[in-house]
Amino acid sequence: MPAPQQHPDQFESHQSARKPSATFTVNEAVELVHVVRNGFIESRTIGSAVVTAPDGSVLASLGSPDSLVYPRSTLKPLQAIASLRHGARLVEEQIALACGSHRGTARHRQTAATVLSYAGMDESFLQCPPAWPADPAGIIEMAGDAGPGGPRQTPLAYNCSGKHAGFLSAAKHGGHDVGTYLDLDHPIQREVAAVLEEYCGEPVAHWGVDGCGAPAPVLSLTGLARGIGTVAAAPHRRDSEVHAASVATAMLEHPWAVHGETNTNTVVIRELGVLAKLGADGVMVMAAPDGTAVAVKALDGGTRAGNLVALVLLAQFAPEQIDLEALPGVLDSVAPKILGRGQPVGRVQLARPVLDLLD
Amino acid sequence: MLLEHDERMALTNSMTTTPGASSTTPGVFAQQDAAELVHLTRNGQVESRHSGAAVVTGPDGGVLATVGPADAVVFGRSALKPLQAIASLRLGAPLESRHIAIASGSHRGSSRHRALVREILAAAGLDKTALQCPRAWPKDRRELLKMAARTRRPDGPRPNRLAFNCSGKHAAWLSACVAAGLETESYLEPDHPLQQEVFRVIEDYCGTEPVHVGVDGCGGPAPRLALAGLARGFGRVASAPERAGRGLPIDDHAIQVAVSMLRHPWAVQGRNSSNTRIMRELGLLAKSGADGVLVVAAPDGTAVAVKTLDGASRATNLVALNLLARFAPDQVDLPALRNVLDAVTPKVLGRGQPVGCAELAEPVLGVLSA
Repeated sequence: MPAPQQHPDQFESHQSARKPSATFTVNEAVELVHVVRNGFIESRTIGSAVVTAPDGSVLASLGSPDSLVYPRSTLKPLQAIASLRHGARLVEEQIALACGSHRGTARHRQTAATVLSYAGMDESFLQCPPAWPADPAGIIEMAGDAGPGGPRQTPLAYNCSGKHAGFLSAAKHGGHDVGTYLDLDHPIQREVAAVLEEYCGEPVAHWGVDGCGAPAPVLSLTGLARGIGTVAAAPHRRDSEVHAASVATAMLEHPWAVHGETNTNTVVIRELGVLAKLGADGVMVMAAPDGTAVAVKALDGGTRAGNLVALVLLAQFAPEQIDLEALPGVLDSVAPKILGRGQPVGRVQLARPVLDLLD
Repeated sequence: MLLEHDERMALTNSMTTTPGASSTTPGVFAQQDAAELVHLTRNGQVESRHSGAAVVTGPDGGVLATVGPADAVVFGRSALKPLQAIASLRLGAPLESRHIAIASGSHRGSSRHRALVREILAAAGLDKTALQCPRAWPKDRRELLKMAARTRRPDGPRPNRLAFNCSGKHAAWLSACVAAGLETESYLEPDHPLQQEVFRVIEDYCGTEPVHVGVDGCGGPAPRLALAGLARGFGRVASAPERAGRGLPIDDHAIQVAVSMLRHPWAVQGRNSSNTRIMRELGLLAKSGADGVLVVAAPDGTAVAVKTLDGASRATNLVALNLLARFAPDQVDLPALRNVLDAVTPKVLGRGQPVGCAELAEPVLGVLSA
């Protein structure tokens, strides 16, 4: 008997510039972390990671750093540069929000709404899907503030609404169409492609569609690290683009807008003064002010490995860039908790391939 | 400049020192033994891959097929709940069918689920303060809003123990303790008579002694056992009604658990959740466990157990259902299976529309076509 087929629909990208390919394989990946529960390894996360130097060269790598990945939201700081190039009217925390994957709290929603109102628009112009706040407390808060009819989901609460508001502001002030800002051939998206090629040092290999509806570029993990490192170093280099410096400074000064008060990217940025940005499906980038950068991709798309691996590699290869006294506390705070009855009964540990890079 | 030696040692130690753990920590199968189970494509590009192990056991408990390592050892986590419910019944917990279903389930904490757990506790003369599982929020936003609207607390609702996904199991355990005259304070201790009964049930049904006990997220003992044993035990529960129908001497409690899960599938997880849909629409027992465990079993006793290496659940339904349909084709309604697969397969979306899909990987396809 023939087995029933998996999900039958196959979607070919109409936007594909090159032959589609694939990220690295199970055999090419290495173990990054494992989860220990009461002395027994319950699960393992495998993936790839790369460290690039201030000059963009590769300092160290694990797995298959040249393989192609969807960087997803880790590209937001670079997408924000494209918006600023077209005259988006963004200041301070609005820039940080455009670089962030926020939790949809009232403060996040209000900041995105303000960007839109500066450009004479409102939330109805956003083309990201409607969403609820990410945390139960945020939903309850929204319910408490709601008028008659109760709370409703809104695109302002979608984690990418700051980026979309930035795109719209850029379209408006750049004199472009605001209805088609997510199209690959829209001037803002063409600018994103140009920024990526300049900062990551390689052309976009393939275009897909991100969860929020924006074009989703495919790049090598190494290119991604290089790009984010260049942004992080921008405030300290005389030849850097002013918009890159604005992005790095805004993220460092308003970390709450990049993620959420108690969320990992915000904690890392606030406590250590390094850029940190997650992306869906297991991507993480971190970069120090000197331009040393780390990019991690968990093959399974999970989030257990990213923070730990990126932090220890950044501390290993740019130790003078990181407050090593604050590091253990941050590691403890961002490490996934392995709990039994609310108490720690294990931990997520670095696996041998990562430890070998630290030796 | 690289880290000074002392700093490096401090860093390494902070990341690796766990009591009882070292580089030789025993554990689940290694990366090189895991098989790719599923990959996800986005606009034609493979974005992520899940690897792991799967075992199919036949009605007689023998292994019919494996994907990846044949001897994987795992924490069964919540996939063991139907067996834990049998232990509660053995000790005399006075549970009605719907109570047995929620005792076997990982529910979503809806008001209906919470009410059912309260019933179990009330029948034992207890209330929610007896529960020792942690507090939680309901999983679904609609329920959260309902809770916010109904609360009498001026500072808003708080997470509570009834909403924790294992509260039905805990309530049934407490009910068993009351019925058997056992201490209710220490019901989560591995040496409590109730937990000793759980270990005996696992040994009876899975044919394998649980070799190590950790602590589960809910505070209950977390036994680890062979993945094949997990499939075997679940298959025996699923086939209990049919074997009893053939006049075989079958543990009445296993019949009760299988019948109850199929009769009240909403209590086992939630109305639109994957376990519930598989039971309601296919008549197969299904139970997921934390960190990427899933068991599915047919009424004839054919069973599949899956464990993903990474602990994620995106791959499990697709793998388990396809393997079960391959090895017990007469037990699975194929048109209904297509609908269920469509519903439980993870979606790859762009702007709310499908832009890719989850696909079975070569090692699974190889077993399906063998």
